[in-house]
Amino acid sequence: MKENILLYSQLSPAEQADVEAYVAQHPDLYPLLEEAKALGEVFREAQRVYAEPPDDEVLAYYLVTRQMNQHPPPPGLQAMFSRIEARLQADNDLRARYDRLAQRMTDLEAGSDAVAHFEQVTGHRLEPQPTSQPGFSPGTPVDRGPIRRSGRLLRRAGSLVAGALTVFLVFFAISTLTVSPLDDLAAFEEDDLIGMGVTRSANPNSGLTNEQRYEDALMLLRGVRTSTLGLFPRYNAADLQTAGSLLATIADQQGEATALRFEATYLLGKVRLAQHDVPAAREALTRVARNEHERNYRKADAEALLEAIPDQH
Amino acid sequence: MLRRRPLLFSYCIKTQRLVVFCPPLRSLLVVLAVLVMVSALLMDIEKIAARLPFHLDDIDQVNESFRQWRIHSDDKNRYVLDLWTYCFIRRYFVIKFASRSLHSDVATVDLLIEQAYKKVQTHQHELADARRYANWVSVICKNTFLNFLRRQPVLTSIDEEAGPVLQASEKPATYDIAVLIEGLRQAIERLPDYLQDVARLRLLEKCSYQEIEERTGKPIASIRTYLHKALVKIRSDAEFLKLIGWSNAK
Repeated sequence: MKENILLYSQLSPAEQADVEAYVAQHPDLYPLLEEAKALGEVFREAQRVYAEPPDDEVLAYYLVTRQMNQHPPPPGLQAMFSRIEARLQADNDLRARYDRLAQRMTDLEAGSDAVAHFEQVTGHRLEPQPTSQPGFSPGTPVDRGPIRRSGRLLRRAGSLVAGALTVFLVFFAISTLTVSPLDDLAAFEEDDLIGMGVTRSANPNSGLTNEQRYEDALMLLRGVRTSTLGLFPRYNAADLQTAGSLLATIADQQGEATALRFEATYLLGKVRLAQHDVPAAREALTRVARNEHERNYRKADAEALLEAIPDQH
Repeated sequence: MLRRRPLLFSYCIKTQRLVVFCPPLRSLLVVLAVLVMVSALLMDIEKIAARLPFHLDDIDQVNESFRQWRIHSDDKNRYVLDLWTYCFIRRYFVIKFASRSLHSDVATVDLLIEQAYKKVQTHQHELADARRYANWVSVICKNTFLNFLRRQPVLTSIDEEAGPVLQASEKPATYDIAVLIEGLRQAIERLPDYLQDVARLRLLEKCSYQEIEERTGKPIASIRTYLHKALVKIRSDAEFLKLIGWSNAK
């Protein structure tokens, strides 16, 4: 039982009650029990560092110390920092606590000029930040590995890049969410816009052939969709209209079915999607999808597009 | 030339990219947000601590600085020592106040920092063992903080049913984390080899007896015996007791 007194903080509640009862019968052991309890409190404080999730004080310690020093922390602390960082990535609640702590610390620091306070309290004037101290030896150096050179500029640059990337990703998310599905379906791929290399006739009165109309339409469609850094895509309405007219001329002609007519009709369907004219798009794509002609290479593509058009349209 | 384009394939690729990209994108956004928050938190204390030639928690270095200053009384070591002392004390109180719902203002924090610093300056010459300087400063911080807490008024409700809740079992954490961890770690290292694993796993990492049994291969009965022996030794470890302020010996 006497052994259990010193082990008090390591015992179960029932065992602790037994110890308390025993000490009540042997009052001379009270000082030992009080000492054991106090020692237990010390261990309990130290164990907070290993607790999951970390408490506010451990988080605050990490928050202040992580960015304070340009020198590598002792190995035991580095392991603690790595553990906390891994936890912050995975735990939303912990991150929310971390953010609140950071704000509280900012508020605390904001009302005080630490540099002026340092100079007033210590009587020292804060010297310029040393870049290197070859002649300064505060005593026998303890080898902790290579000392990092000033990382402040790198951290600031890193934070700027991180901030810019965050902003971009936010806009990316907004762009993705706000773009109409019809715009996405209508997006012209590289393979859509491969031409036939047809040139215009030198005779201005010779009129346009279907091949030339097709080339003109492709030329317009190549630049019809623009965006800002890949965000918030938009179509040039005038070019879409002109390209649509050219393609419609080819598609609406009577006569023998040709690969060109199927291709033009399919592209017309995409143009109508980009113009958000769903009935016209369906009509053009259906013409392609239902035609079993052997030279109709766009049948499957048209069927897929028809299936992909959202029902509400 | 006109040629068939695999439309479905390209749409699948786009969707795949979005799906594959999203989970890491989410993590990336989280990490970036944390980095931006940490980087944006410009704290004055950072400006001061940047002048230190070693890490704020490098206890061996600061103790050595104190020892050198005691021997040579030179201005350089004096400056580094005072720099470290101020940064250590300031960090201690900023952490304590930020992590608690204490009714205080910035002036109170500054005042406590000043009080602790002046105590250090006044009694520095009395410290016999130079290797204990960092520990001694942390004890001064702890005692200053405890005195402040004792002076705090207890707010009571006029509603009898919602009166003050006794929290006798919840004591405030008062030690500096780094000093306490390092002190306890060194105390455990001073134990005989066969006691160290059990002491570290139980007293520092708070592992259960079953976990210690699994990790060390020792039976629980032996673990309790080893733990008792470790506590007997730690209880008489003068260095550790001075760290936690249980002895007046300096």
